[in-house]
Amino acid sequence: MTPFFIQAFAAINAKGIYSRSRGYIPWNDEHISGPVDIQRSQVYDKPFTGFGKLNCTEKIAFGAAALALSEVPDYTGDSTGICLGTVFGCLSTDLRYAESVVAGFPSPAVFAATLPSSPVADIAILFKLKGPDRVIAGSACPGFFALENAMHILAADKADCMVVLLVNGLEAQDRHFPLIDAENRSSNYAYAFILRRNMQNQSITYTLSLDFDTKTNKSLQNRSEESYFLEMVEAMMHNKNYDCSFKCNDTSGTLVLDTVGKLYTRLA
Amino acid sequence: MDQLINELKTKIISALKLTDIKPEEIDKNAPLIGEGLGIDSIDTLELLVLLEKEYGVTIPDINVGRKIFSSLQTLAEYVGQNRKK
Amino acid sequence: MGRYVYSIKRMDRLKSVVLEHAEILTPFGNLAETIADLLAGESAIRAGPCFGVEAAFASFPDVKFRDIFCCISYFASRIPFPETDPASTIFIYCAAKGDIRAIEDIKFSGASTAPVSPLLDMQARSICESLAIAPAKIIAVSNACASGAVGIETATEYLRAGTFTHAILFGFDCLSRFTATGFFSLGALSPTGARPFDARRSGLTMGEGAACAVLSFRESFSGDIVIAGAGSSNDANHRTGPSRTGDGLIKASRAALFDAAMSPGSVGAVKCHGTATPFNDAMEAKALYSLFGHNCPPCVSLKGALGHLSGAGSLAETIIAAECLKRRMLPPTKGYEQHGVDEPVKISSDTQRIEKPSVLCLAAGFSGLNTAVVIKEHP
Repeated sequence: MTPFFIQAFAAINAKGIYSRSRGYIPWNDEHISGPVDIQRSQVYDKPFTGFGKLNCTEKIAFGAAALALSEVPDYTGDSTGICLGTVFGCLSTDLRYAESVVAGFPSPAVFAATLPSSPVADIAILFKLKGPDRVIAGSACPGFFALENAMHILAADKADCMVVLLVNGLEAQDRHFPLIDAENRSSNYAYAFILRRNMQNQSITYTLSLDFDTKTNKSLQNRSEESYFLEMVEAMMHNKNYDCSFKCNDTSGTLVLDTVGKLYTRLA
Repeated sequence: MDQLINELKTKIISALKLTDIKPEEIDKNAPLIGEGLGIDSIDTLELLVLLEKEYGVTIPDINVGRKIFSSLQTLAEYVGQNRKK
Repeated sequence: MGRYVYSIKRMDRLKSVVLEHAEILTPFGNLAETIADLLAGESAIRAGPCFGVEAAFASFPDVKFRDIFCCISYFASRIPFPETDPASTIFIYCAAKGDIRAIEDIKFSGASTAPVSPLLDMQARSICESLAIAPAKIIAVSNACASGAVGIETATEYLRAGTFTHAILFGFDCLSRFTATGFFSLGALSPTGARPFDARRSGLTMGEGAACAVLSFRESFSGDIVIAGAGSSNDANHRTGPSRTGDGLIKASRAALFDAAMSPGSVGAVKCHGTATPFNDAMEAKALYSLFGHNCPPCVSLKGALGHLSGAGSLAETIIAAECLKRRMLPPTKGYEQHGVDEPVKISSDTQRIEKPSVLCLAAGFSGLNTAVVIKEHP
């Protein structure tokens, strides 16, 4: 059975921007202040006049996807899809749309961005990704589910490359909104992984396996999903293996990441 | 008219979040919609909302709309003639 | 290296994804009421206004169903949920926005809380609690107006992987001030009612709906409806509008047919997406012509009678298509009077017979999403 490979990755989170090609760029440098404020030039080299229109979730999802895809010269748009795990979509967009209705001038541009699936649009359009897309929404562990669904899609030969994203666009000013878990009020983040079924070239990649327990592992404490992904990305930045038994909102399982291939000379 | 044009430039950039573009970069005679500013069909609808909200101007039908949006100059002239605010 | 469980091995080639039970709630009512009204050529579309929006709409017969828990109670008494080991059941919630009372109550009514969380998986968990089921896995799929169809595709993958023996699908989207004003601001609504594929079509009509289906993975028998295949794609063209050539829908359809090991020639009927916007129907007609050429099977759009049930719609419409397949009869495309697309698509204002036992069900959504599902009746 062919394993799954992670060919490239990127992350934009509370600590900074991570990618193999640009290295780790922490916030609090002069021009960089946080995930919500990223500039196009930090994540994407080509012109993109629509970047400023993107809401927080779309922007960081696009940024992470763009950084990861920039390291993948050999993807075929026609057979590449997107599997997006998103906590909610962008709550502030929903609230701003509702406010525009109350003000008597409902905004079409804001409304068009109120779906959890809206980040898929610009990524697919700019990178010409015509493969299958799937959006898993919710707070439990959308990222692990997104990885799992991407694996299903690749295993079924419906695509040969999947951009897997985990995004939380819940912005600081909206964190007091009722009925949203305290855990999700922490910070914005976007993690991107380029997942493939087969790897031809010898650049450094990782094999990935993911298993869910049929019964919740009672010996583990619940942790935020992001905490596992952060550990995974930090391991990848140092070309280290990573494995964990995870448990998020009572969903538990194991994840194993192993390095393969030659080391790049240019490391983070 | 120039003042209205400059005002429109700022309002359009703000409403459509064209963060990469400065007011002086917009050519008042160039087509508003399409490649230049990256204004698409949803942005056009957003512009209609802007015109109604800021100037009380409505556009009766799509054919009139196409002529009005052919450039910033034509848009400013239409707003100048029809504004209620 | 770890264990790799995600190879879709068709280990038991005799097994299929079978549609065991289903129920829906639409502007006509439940499944039996909906089928009867559709086949009789009725329309659930009425003049507005609705939530202050001047356009035609299709509403639930009783607006109490805008509360997701009301829909759940209705389904709970009508669907026999499988009494299998919960560890072998997955629950998939399909919604574009789902129950958005949290946003509406707090922003429009000034409330400080709401009956249900805006987070889709929290809604899914609430649904399971209300139904008194405890599936091993609960996930929420939100692919805009293709959510229901993608939910079906997702279920088939989990079932074929052998991880689960049963999948419960639940879809819900309802009319609200939020969505009604939104679609109106996009200029997408027809003032008078959807006319799919008609020369005078002027936009879509919003509807509302809930749907629940139980799928199992087992050997199928005569009369079973099987989810034979599913496929998805992206137009990569525009945030809300479809590709002008229909490429994405063609790709998804071909992927679904390939997944079902079928050729276009063996398709008995097509349940179109058919929203009745000028662009969608033009694009869909091109896609259908590309797939079938001059041998187009009978096609129907349900949205001229039912309205557009948003994310839940593609689940409800697939369930309706299954009932039509059993009867070998496609309902009329209400609102269609004068052929309004360039291609010879077999749309009709009368019922049409289904000669071969399969239906290709199409769905599309904002962000260029396209999904096709093929259902078949076991001979």
